[in-house]
Amino acid sequence: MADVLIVKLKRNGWPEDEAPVMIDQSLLEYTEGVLDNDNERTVWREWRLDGKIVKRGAHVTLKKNVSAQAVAAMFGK
Amino acid sequence: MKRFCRWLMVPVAFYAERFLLLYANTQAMTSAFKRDILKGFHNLGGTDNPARSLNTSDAYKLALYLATASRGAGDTVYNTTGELAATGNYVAGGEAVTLGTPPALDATTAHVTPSASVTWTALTSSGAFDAALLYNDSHATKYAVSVHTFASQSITAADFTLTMPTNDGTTGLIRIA
Repeated sequence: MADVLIVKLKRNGWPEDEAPVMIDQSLLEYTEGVLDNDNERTVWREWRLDGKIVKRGAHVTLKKNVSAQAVAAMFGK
Repeated sequence: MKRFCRWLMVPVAFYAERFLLLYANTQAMTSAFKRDILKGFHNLGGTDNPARSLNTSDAYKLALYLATASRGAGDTVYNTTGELAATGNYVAGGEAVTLGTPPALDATTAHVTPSASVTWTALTSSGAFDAALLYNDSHATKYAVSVHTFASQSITAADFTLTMPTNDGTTGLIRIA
């Protein structure tokens, strides 16, 4: 089983995350999800160790984006 | 001392979170961008612009913003307020975008889209984020172009990739109809 690079987080606003370490993939719980709507298609993958997220990545494909309407007004209006 | 500081910060964080939740990022082309393109502040690709003495594309970047930030149509320039902290491999100001295809017309709609995905490698985000601001990094003023929102994400020791839509008059990232 391949190793996965993980980070053990200690959050609540304090930058005390531990250095990344390699851990056997079989020890991790892996989940993957997809969000697909008019605005985006997002695929996320996460790995948990003892219920805590230790690695999470996402790939967002943008769909609906910004536009402006160009207007050329008539003189005298 | 550290334990005392943690105890002290709990109520501060509690109220700050509720105050900040009043804000949200909104997807929009910034109003200032509409004005600034008429003033010739931007070159989003191409070398065929006879109006500019320095006839090269400007450099653009995408910066990521916390879900508690308030980026939107009212932005005029790149703003550090609400940007991800410069930790966990996030660099303040964000990542460069590639504009390999100059602006073009699709029937009556002008459009331009970065020609490559933008990836933040081995990122650990300082919080949940749901917006990216596109801005002109060539000028010292860093004029804002647009805000793009997506579902809130927290990234831990992994890549975050933004892939661009199809570059045409219907879905291009920036469009003027």
